[in-house]
Amino acid sequence: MNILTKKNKNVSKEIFSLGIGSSFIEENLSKFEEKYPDEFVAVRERNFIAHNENLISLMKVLKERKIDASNVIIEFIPFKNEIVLF
Amino acid sequence: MRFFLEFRKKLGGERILINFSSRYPRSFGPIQGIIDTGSPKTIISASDALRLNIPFKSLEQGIALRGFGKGGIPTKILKNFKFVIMDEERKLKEFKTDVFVADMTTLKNLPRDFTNQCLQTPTIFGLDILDKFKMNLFLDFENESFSLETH
Repeated sequence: MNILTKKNKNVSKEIFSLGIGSSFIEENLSKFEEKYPDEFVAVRERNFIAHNENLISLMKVLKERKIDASNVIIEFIPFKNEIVLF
Repeated sequence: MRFFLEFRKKLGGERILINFSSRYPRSFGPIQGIIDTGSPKTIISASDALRLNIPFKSLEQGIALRGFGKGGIPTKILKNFKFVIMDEERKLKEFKTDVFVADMTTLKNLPRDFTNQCLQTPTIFGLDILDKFKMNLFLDFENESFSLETH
């Protein structure tokens, strides 16, 4: 543990990328709420990739575009002024 | 050891978020979870399970999870789920524990409206992990500093 191996560098990069993507969603949330309410959005770092109301369909789009889904953030965007509880 | 958390709007409200990485065999990749001390269990969401290609068929059946306005979400148990979190010094700390994962194979055969609702449920980082690894949760809203600490 904690040895700077190539594998560890990749994991660190993954976690950094996730943080960048998360910030991008935060910065663009109002826009997403306007354009894609009640839909899932897919983002990788600071790039918007796709949106779809159906998660399975969105996964198919990523596959068709040969995008590695494991490094993509998929987030559900509720309607404005709606809070999702679970 | 301290792990920084995010505080931002997600799913319509402010949430405390943790970024970690799955090291489960053949299902590597980053995951963002909501820290939820009201959830006794940790649950990997359907979207994260799909993204990481978690092999549902080989997993044991788990409990059904019932949330607000939902019927039971079918789950499977991901035994010895290995994941890593990066600390404030950018060192990686590895953890291993059993977690639940939304069972996509069963969900796909349920009514579409119900399935769609279940798919919106995010990954939940529950009380079980905080307890098992003796993690202390610090929420300093005044200074906007949010972290988990463990020894």
